[in-house]
Amino acid sequence: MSNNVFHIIEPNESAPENSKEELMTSVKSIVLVLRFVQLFLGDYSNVLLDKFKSDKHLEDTNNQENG
Amino acid sequence: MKEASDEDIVRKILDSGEHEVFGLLYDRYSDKVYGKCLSFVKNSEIARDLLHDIFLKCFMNLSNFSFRSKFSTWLYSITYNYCVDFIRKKRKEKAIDWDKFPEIADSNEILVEKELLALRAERLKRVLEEVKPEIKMMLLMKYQDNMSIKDIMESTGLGESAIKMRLKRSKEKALEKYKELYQDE
Repeated sequence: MSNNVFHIIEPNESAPENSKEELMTSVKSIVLVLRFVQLFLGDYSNVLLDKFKSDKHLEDTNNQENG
Repeated sequence: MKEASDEDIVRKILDSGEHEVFGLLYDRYSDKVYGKCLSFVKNSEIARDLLHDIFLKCFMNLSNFSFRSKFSTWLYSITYNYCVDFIRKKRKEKAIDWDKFPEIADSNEILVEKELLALRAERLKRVLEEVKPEIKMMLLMKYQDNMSIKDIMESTGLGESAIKMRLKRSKEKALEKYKELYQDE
């Protein structure tokens, strides 16, 4: 046994039951949310790109009609 | 994977996104972290909530783990900082201004340390309950978790001289509190 008094007073309680399940559920939820955000951001950039393409197409069409 | 080192588990989570193996780190350290929380808040329900929040914070910040220190050192520093912040908010206390912390004149650090380590367990417990949480944190990091100055530097982001100064003043303050509590004996 250690003579260091700080080791003697070190708590040796066990973590409460079910606390692991609660944590892993939270971890799972966070991972899920992050994946959704990633998905949304990925799609969002595509949406922006599509919009840019259609605006450009519209602009080109207008130019042809006017020119 | 059960035999893997903590650091290998962290790499696995970061490289392949296998978050399920985080449970292994929880199995290894939840008792220690819970005990530390309990020693700060003295309430099992609050300690349980802190335990959950600390591990969640750890998971969210895994990419910030630098692999320069041990995973346990990093986790314990998150634990201490979280508990200290929690208590400070609860008591509406400001952080200690270490530069303005009163220094004890002619104090011999080696003697102070010797005296502190010679305290009876229940008295030391009482002293640690009475001092500010930042002081308790410094003393537990050094004497309970056996962190080196370098480990504490890594955990706190402070320089060597700042850590040494804080440790010295923490020891002095704890001993002063002991004398205040037990001066009549």
